Amino acid sequence: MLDFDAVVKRYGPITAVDGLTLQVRRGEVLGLLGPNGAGKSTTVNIAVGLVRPDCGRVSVAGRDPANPGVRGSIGIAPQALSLYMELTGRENVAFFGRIQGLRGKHLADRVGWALDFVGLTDRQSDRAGTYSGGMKRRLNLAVALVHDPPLLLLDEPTVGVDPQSRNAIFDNIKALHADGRTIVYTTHYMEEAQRLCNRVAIIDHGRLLALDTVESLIKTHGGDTVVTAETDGGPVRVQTGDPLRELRRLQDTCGLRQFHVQRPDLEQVFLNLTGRQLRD
Amino acid sequence: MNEMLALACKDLRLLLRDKVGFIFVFFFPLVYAIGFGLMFKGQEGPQAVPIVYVDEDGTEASRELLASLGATGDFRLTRSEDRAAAEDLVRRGRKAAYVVVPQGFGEARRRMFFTQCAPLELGADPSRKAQAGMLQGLLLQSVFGGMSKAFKNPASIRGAIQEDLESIKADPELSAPKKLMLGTFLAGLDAFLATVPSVQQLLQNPAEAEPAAGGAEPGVARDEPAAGSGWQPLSVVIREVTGRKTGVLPPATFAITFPQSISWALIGCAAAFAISIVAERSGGTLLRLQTAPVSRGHVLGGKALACFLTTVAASGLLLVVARVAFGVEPQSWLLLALAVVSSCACFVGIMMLLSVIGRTEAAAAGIGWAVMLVLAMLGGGMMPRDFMPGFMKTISHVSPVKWAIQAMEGAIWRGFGPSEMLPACAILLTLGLATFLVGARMIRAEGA
Ligand SMILES: Nc1ncnc2c1ncn2[C@@H]1O[C@H](COP(=O)(O)OP(=O)(O)O)[C@@H](O)[C@H]1O
Ligand SMILES: [Mg+2]
Repeated sequence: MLDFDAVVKRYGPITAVDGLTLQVRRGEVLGLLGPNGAGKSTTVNIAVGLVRPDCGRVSVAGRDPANPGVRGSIGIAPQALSLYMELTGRENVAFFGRIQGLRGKHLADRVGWALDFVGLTDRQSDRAGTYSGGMKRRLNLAVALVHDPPLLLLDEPTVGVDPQSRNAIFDNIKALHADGRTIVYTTHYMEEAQRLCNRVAIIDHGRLLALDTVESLIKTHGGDTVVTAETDGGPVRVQTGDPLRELRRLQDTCGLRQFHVQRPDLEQVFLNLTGRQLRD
Repeated sequence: MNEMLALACKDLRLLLRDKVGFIFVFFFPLVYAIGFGLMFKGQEGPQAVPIVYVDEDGTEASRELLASLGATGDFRLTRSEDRAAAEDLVRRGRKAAYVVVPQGFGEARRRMFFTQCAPLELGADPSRKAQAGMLQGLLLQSVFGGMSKAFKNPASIRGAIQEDLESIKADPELSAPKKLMLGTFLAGLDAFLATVPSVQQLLQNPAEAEPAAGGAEPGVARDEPAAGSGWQPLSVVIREVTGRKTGVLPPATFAITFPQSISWALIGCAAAFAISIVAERSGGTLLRLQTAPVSRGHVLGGKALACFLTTVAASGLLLVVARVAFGVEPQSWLLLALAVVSSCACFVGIMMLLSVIGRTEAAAAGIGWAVMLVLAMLGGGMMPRDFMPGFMKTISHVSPVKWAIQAMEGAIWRGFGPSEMLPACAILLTLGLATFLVGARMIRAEGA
């Protein structure tokens, strides 16, 4: 659906994207996980033809996104809210729908659907500038959806969002996925990637470090589970591939009072891959 | 095209919701036109109307007549050697009117009633009816004032009456009944003057003297050539001088302030839209638009279209107000449309260029207005160019505001023909195109 082939983008001395090769499969939710400055937004902008790569090729369903016709099949919710704050929610969605070539009743239907989908029907006649951070994010998403694109690029769609809107956005993404859309989801929150994505690409300094399902990533790069316990003989911390067996052993040998099992997560995967924390 | 219209509609909607932008595009120009129009109007009265005269007579009487015109303070008189030159000055609008004092005027006035003299000639543009009427009234008053003065010296009048009687008798073209009538009247008057000594006292008061000449009150002949030789009352002929006026006196101050105010509206528009492009760039919507299946050319075209439509709407609104509320009647609506369209196109280009100069909205607004104020000041958007000192007039050529105002004034009251409109409009369009291309190119370059 979306292919990157050895894509490089430099900004002066900074290499924002460094030889990225990646295939996004039709119908999957692919997470781009990496810290700030990893090159996620640049990657997304290359995918939609906004940024021209210095080297390499990118294609959407086999065609170059620099071609305006190809871009009609992409919906993008940019990291920076790209809305007209003086226009109402409905006017924003309708305007971008018109720019995407929708007209008349079809346009009105799609606008109504998109606003309803993100839960903004009640506030559609208020100016976007009066919305809360979460509502603006949802409107940003509605604008990306209005023309019913099969490929969605969502760049940090939960930044600056209250927990309620965040859950609403998660539900939206699950619904869109269930609907068969291909979604690229960038984030620096590993919980989000873990919760939403079929596959996760871990990116740092513009380089793709690993790409697989969450399960496999953890299995390959996460290391052992950490069991910490309070026993009769004092505190114990053990790394193990089989936490259940380890707990039984502790119970039998030194009297288990309290325990905590920490399964490896993407945070751990990132730490193991880069030697750094995901969040600094 | 559909996309461009959608873009333009969105921009118009945004402008209408942007109070500051709206004020600068519509409200301020209107207030400017009306406010300054009223202010200048107050000064219009004491300002002397420039007229040119040709003294073909060159007698004491003609000099007196002209001096009395000058003494009213309403006119600023300049001398011209011949009629053609004077007429030309009026045609080109350098002078509001011309007055020709024909040869024989002094003689005619001395003799009051019988004269071979051609009528006084007054030439003015038909659009200056009020000024021409005032001038005519003053001429008649001066002529008549001179007559009443003559009455203060009955002896000279009696001499003149005798001469008149001789001429009447000798005139071959005068019919017998007329000769009889005039002869009887003049003889009677002569007798009256001779037999009533107190008449001198009476005539010392011109107000009371006027009715005494009632029978031969100077008349006004409108556009009729002097009716051959022979007897006639001293009259004033008004000639209509129409032509291209590139000159000093528009019919009303509002005809000056409304073109100025349109230039302000154009400036306001260019600034508002330049700022909106910067806002779209910094707010990310410009990028989002570029992710849609429209080309960058469409996006810029939509901006340009919206800006153009707004400038045309603002200019149109101001012109309608000028016409309906202040009676500013353009001499040519067609040429005015050309002038407005050229000016609008020019400022759309300037808008494009301004939009790449500022990085942030605040910078764009600051730089934009600074540049625009200078252009407006230089170009006559504040002080009309006609009132500027010479060196400033020269500098003003660099300002598009100057050309916009010149083109609009040309169509409204300077009486430009198409060939005279051409330079200003060509300069505006060229400047608009050049700034548009440079601006669009720079916007494109930074997006790549
Ligand atoms: N337009 C630009 N000009 C210069 N540097 C840029 C530009 N865009 C991104 N960068 C740099 O490229 C790197 C990657 O940025 P970005 O793709 O925004 O990262 P992310 O979205 O993962 O936080 C950063 O170091 C950023 O500073
Ligand atoms: Mg980013």
